[in-house]
Amino acid sequence: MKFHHVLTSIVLSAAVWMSLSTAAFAQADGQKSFDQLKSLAGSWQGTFEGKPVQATLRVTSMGNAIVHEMKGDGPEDPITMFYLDGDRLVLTHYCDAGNRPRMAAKLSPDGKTLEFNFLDVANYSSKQEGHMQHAVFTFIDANHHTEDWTFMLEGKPDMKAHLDLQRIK
Amino acid sequence: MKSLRFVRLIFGVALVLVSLSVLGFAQSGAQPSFDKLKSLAGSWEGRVTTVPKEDDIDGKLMQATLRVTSMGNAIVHEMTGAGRPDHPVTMLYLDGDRLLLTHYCDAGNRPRMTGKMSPDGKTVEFQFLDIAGSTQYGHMDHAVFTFIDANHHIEDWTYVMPGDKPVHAHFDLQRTNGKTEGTF
Repeated sequence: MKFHHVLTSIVLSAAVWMSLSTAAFAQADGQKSFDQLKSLAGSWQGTFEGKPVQATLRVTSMGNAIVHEMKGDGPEDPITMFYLDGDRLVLTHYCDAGNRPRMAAKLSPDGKTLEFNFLDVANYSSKQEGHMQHAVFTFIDANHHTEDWTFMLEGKPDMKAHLDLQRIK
Repeated sequence: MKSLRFVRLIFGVALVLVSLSVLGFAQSGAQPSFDKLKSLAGSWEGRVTTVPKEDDIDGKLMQATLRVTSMGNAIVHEMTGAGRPDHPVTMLYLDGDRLLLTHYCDAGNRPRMTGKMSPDGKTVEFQFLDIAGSTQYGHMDHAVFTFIDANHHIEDWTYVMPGDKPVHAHFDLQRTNGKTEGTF
């Protein structure tokens, strides 16, 4: 009986330690992803389907948020906010379509890509015909990164945008 | 019995009409409030006063910008002060039939508030809705935008410190230029 108590105690302790270390790892991963993204702060220029596109990333809120803005030669000017939500790096995309999808980030083991997977969307109606669904930031070097954004279209193939961006300041 | 059915029918129709008109009012109320806030697009500057007095910020010159983005679906509000690290960003947008703001606070949390315009159209008041993130260092709780004229508006922000102690920050802002187009 005593042995059973000891065994239970060991199993419980191990479970607690595993939970704590997993939480610490997740937290470190969220923070690491956020810090990696902060390295992109600045102004960027590139092309999308042969047309010029500009992006800026700014660290705001005393380091607690990143504002991402994008502008092409059209009226589009979506804003994306990045922030830590507990142990996760999350983005909220204030879409030109009027909705606000959220996505959670996952840093690749080599630290070269940050992939954002869809969590949920607010203010969405089928009249909008779709929403931003997925994003990947790829870190090439200090002055070069790419962004791959996927827009989910209702009943149609996804629309993908690949932005190859060079730092201009 | 017949008259009871008739009363029920009238009551039912009235209920539907009231529901529709309330929904219509809420929808039409949020959009004009949002449009009114869009009229503040531009760069602003003014002094801040605090109650109770916060010596590190009271009387300081602050700058605010409001920009209409996301093809008219959002407003970005930013505030900074010379030599100060503060730089909160607030996003204002419509959520169905509500006008909402999300305040990306320097304290690391993100309160949301719902906005309502006064009957005379001179103020838009935001009441606390919910909050994400830690409130260890307090949180922004309330905001009022007061429209004086095209080049003058006031913002009153209430921050609740740990222990439920409110601090009111009153920003008297004058327009410093025209509507800003963005950071590009």
